Amino acid sequence: MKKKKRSLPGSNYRNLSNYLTIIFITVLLVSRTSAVIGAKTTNSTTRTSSTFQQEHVVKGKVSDQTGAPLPGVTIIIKGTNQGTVSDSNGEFGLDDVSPDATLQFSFIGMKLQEHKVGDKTFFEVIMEADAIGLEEVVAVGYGTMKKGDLSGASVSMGEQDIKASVITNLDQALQGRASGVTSMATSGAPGSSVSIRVRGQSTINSNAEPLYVVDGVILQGGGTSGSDWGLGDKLGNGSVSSISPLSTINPSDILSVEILKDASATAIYGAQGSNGVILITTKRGKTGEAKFTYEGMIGVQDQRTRLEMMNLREFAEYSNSVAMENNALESRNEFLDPSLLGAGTNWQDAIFQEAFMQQHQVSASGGTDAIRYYVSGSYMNQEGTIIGSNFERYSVRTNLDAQLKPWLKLGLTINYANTNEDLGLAEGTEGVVNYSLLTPPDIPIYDIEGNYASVIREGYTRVNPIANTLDKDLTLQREKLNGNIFMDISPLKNLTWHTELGYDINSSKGEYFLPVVTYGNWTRSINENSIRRNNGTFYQLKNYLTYDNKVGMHNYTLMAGQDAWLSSWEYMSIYATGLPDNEIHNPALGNDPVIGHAFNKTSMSSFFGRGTYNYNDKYYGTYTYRRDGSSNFGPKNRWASFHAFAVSWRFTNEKFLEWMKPVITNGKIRFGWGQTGNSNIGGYLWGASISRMPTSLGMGYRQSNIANPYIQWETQEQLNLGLDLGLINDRINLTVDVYDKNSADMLMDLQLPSYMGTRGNESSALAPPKGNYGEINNKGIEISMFSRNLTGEFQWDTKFQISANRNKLVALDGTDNAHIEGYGQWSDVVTVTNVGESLYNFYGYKVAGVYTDLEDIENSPKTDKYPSDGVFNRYNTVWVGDLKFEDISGPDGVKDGIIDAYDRTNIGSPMPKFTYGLENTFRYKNFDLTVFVNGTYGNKILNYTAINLSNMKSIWDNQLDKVTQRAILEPINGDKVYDQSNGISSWYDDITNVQVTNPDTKVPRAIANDPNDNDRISDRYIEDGSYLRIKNITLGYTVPTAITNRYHLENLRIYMNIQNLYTFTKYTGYDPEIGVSTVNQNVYGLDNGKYPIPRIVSLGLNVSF
Amino acid sequence: MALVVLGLLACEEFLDRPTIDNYNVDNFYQTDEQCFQAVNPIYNSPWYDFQRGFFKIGEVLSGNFYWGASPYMTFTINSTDQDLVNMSASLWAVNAYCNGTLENIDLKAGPDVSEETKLTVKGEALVWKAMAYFYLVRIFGEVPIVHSNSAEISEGDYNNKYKATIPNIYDYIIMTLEQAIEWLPEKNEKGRIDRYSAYGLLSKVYLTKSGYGLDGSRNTDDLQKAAQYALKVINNSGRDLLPVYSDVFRLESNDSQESLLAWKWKASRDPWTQNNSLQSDLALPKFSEFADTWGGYNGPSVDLQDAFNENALSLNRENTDRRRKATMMMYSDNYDYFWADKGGFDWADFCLNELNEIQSPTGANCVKHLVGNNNDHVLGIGYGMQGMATSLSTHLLRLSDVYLIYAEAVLGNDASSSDAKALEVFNQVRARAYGMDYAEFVGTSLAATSLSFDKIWKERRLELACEGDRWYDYVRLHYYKPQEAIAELKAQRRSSYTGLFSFYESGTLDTDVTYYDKNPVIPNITDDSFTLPFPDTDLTMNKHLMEPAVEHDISEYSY
Repeated sequence: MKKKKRSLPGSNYRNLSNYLTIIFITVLLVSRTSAVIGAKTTNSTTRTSSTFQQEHVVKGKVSDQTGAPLPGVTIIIKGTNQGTVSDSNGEFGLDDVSPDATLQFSFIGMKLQEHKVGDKTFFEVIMEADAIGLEEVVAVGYGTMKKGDLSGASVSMGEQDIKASVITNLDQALQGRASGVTSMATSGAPGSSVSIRVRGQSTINSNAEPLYVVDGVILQGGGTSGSDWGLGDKLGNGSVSSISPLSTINPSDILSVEILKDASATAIYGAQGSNGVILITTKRGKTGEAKFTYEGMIGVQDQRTRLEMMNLREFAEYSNSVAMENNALESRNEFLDPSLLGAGTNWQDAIFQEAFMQQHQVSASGGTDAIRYYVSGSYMNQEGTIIGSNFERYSVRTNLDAQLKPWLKLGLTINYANTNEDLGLAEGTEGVVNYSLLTPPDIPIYDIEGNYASVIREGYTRVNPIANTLDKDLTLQREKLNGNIFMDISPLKNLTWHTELGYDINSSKGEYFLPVVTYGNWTRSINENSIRRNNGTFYQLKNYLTYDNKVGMHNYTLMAGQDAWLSSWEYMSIYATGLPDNEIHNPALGNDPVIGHAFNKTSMSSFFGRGTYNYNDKYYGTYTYRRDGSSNFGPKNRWASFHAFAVSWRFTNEKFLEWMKPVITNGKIRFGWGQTGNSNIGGYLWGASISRMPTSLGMGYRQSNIANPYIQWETQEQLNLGLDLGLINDRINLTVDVYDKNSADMLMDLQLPSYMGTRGNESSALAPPKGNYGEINNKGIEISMFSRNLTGEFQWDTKFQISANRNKLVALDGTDNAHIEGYGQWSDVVTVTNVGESLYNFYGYKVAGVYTDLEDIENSPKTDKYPSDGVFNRYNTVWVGDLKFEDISGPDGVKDGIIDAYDRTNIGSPMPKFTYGLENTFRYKNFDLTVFVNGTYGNKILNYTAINLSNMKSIWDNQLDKVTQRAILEPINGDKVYDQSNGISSWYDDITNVQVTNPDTKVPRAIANDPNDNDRISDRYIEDGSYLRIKNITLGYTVPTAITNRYHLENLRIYMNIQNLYTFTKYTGYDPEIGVSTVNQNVYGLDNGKYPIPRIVSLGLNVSF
Repeated sequence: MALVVLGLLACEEFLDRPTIDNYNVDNFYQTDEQCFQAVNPIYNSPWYDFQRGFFKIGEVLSGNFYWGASPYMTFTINSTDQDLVNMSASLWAVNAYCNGTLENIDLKAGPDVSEETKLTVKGEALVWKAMAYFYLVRIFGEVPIVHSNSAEISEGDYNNKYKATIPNIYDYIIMTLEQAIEWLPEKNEKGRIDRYSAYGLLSKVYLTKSGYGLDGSRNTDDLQKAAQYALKVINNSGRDLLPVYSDVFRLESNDSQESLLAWKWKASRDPWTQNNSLQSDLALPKFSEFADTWGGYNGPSVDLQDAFNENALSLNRENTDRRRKATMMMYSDNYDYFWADKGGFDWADFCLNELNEIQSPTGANCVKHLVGNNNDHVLGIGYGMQGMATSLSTHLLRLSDVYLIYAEAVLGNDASSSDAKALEVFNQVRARAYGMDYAEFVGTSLAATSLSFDKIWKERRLELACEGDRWYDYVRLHYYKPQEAIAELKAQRRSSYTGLFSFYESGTLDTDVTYYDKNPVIPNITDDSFTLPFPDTDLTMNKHLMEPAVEHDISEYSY
């Protein structure tokens, strides 16, 4: 058996340097070309001016508002690389400054100032604290607005926020930073997605993720489950996978992110806006000389946490004592003297590894008044901290803007990305985490010949988890080309016609290969190979007219337009077994290749308008209307209209409130109401599809779903009340929003009992009708605060956000008994949501303790394993040491003295009471330090992994070391003599003579087969999921301009970052950050061996020149 | 131009996007062939999830098969049991598919579809529906009647359904089969259900129901009907037993005349559920090349070996009854139809020299439901298998079963019978088992000259062992002789041997090392053990399932 070679970090990247060189040359060429264009114009202007005016020396002094000198302020001659930095007295000097030039004064946390040089030779400049972006222009969807003019609720994230953490995907940057946005990593695997909920869960759809819009174009995901990518159930059997659509975007290209939260803001996206909208704007060039930037980082990731499993000595002792307790089993010879044994194999150490990561990006931007460009190329590679996983991305971006005529602007955005992923199944019963934890420590990783060891024992086959993970190939390659081309035409003053064609062309290749292997007694002698290619094209055509004008104090903007998109999708797959060998992966070489092919199209057409009004920066109003038609609905219900309005009042601009100014610099009250929709359910559910099902009688065609011709839009209404305050000269900014949103006609599967034939394997059950079957309400409050605690030489900023959301299932179609179920690994019910309750409560029994003796069993409520004939048997009836469950209810709604399905109840909510994030940034001279913590409070986790790790059903499985605290049985009367009558040969078969030595234990007795079902879902596995995580610490140093200038550098910064340094939690699993289950969308906070989030220690370098 | 574009986008064609890569219910069912293709999937896919429950209930509960620490060994099956949940999902999915197909043929079949085709495919669906309900009533006892899924959904009352009584359900099954008999042709395409499939099933339903609610004896009207319908199959179907017993379970016999009703699997994984996965659960590791077999630790029980007069503590096999070797593989057994490319499969050689262990602690492994390796699959049906996927048909109703039903029905409540026809069919079954012509066989001492319940009871067990049917014999017996059924199950040798490896390796039996379980666990079997609980999902959705059944008026239902 050939062992797979583990490549060393770096050896993969042989082509990297070539690749980067190519990018670099490309970037240089592009920028050179535009620089030539730029240089011509600049030169000509300089020449004319210099003929008439003399260059001279300027000096000056910079201070803050208190009059204290301000060192470290950057002073640059606008449009050049020339500049200096103020010294410790706040003073500076510059030679050879043309009187035509403009000086730019910049300092972090202060407003940028520009001063024309003219005849002045001495400048006295007072820097003002930045009033935190009221003038900042933000995207609002089909246009932009000044941040201060917004009436809706939204959160902005700038470049700095994105850069503050080490991320592979943009969604990872959103974690803990935006109020009202809950983001949980679906996996700790490299490049995996973060599941985001804006203002709580507002739909039961598998797709409750927000809409991502990149530069105006809807980002195409390409699938949610592993099987969508052609990986079958190799990534788990669920409808959610951790593959992220956002991992095809290079985070360094992003200028800003705007998260639209309330309906008055999202209504412009109408039917696509109900889960919130995330608008991503990428960087574009600015007029000026070419600016090159290199950003790079290298890092090491690891997993810090280990579960407390038994080592070999402990396992041997446990194995012996279980054998003794069960008597039927004899001690294993090799375990006769556990003290002679070593620690055995630590499978946790074997599957976790220290992993390397690196990111590099080069970019160039600049341009002339006529043409501006931004070009970048990037490479990133991240190994996984679980063996066998890896993520790699190449991306190239070109953003161009051309002012063709004074009234005509042309823009072009092109992003190309290529990602390669080595995937593995971490989660689930078959996943490497669970599987290796259960593998006992007496199995070595390698046998004496150096091959992978595997073990087959009585009733039990244990394939080596390392071999099983590394020998399989499970890869996904994706390519994406997306962007847009647009024109802004201004035929009249104040009127702009924006016409845009957006595109997203994507393809993927998902492949798995199961090689011919032998691990001990376990052999696969015919290999399997499957390849699937997906192709998607998405075109979006947009036209909108914007008219804005100002009449006296009245400012208004009117916008009306159209948006339509067509999305086409197809896949082709080929699968075969019996390829000639393990080397060439081409299923066409195998036996009887099976071909799969499918294709489809969906479309949407919309018309919309928006009017905004502002009176003297005091009173604001917005009205939005959108009408959407979706191909997902039948002719009866295809079109729907959505309305929204918002008003706000900047009371600090009122004369009669001017007395507030010293304290409240800026104050605004906002109110909004709006409707949005959701159509995100997949196509043609208004009819019944037919799918193929071969049989040995010939091809079969089966109806695959029950049609619902009445299916229509899910509609959401939301109220929002907000307050923005800028206190003490805008040193403190506070935003508070409260909301109440109601999602009605919720699109979901009709929840049916199994006798309706809609359960079981997806390909055999008749899919239940999807329709508008429920109503959910979310209410919440969000507070975010930003303060500049200290300014001046030593600066300290604080950002804090806290959000609380309460949700409730208001109504569900069907009868009184209708509810929503969520499943664990297969079809075991772990959550139940009843009408009137919060979503996704865990559902199960409550444990009261263990049965201490026969009397206790007889005097407690009867379980269904209580023998009706009164004959107890420790193998198949309830027994001393079994778990005693609480009698909660019965058929008549009252306790009935019987433990049965009526006694299952709500045993905890996975929804946090609140979530929060706190970031402190300190700057002193050229050093900066950022510490960011985030967390949740009040949520419960179902530690599903612990079920198999503590049920003691098989002595071949390793267990958590807490099973040593299990109920230990002993005879009440050790002297009692048995004569084998009635099959009772000893005290342990005589229930009248058995008691528990440790009656306070919560862990039941060890018994093969678990007759009392002690491991049923109960509060035994429910744990507190609250945590506080030191998410990010960054320490940076910016090399002083005095030095960098010498080498013609504009900026040089090095930093060190530690991500996920430590997590404070009571949770006993690996990682309390557990979001939506990848198996079932109706389950949150279920830990079934989730890939834990790694700790990352990295070093980075940013250079620009 | 912009206006033209806008106009285009607003028009409904841009938004009208039904499925384009496949059919939908409105454009299918247009030809006779399409109508047959529409009923084909009911022969496999919805039954897929039943495979494990089918075997574990039929064989493990009944004591024919040893299955380690399975709750089906110890009668400790909970309402969350995965096989139980899947089984329930499967049986109800079959019902839903049958109801849906009936409705689609009635409402959507195009003008070119012949009346004969419509009746035939509807008849096939009805037989499958009856089969699903027959399993349901024998597994769960009282269950709800779902006559039209679409009506239940549009009325929205599906969570308020009450269970129907067991007699109600038997009446419903009989009504369904009577309709099927009326619609089905006497002869259908090869492998498909015909009128005699329905007759055969109906005879089994009558025989099963005949003792329900009675104490110690059976309803003679029902017994008569059972005999009458079985006789139609025996006399008029033109079907005969295959000459060689083991041939019945080979791929070549997927559609043989002996099979009246069978699941028609296809060895592919795309889509999942078209495939037979039973070999994976039942075969020894390395039996196929796909690393997809893990059934070595389970095997035919010691009690079943006893019934075959076979003993794992002996190195010599009793091969007079050919069915033994076709049911279980043991020491010294060699199969030329498995691993044909390697010169056959020798159980002991493989276990001792390849696996280095005797996995099954009963000294036997299953033979039925196995196809062998990839080459065997190609030889049998012309193409290869895949991991967890074979094309082997699973026979649910065989001609020999109908023969034995006839014998049992004719015997009825009598202690013995020497009815000529009953004796003839009974001896035909036995003749084949002993590898003889019927004419030759009746002259030997092996042939029965009179019938008793015990003889037929045992013959059924041997003839149908490991075919997923035995438990229902106990359910039938429990209807009218509950104590007998319980006592027999409790007396079974359900446990295992210790030390088989050293015995087979050395060839000498040391009873200190190799012995049958000295303290076997006697399962806790009560009257409640004869019905299994509903899955907990259903119990939480519909509380009425935990309440007593309600009398239904079956005459309200029709097709």
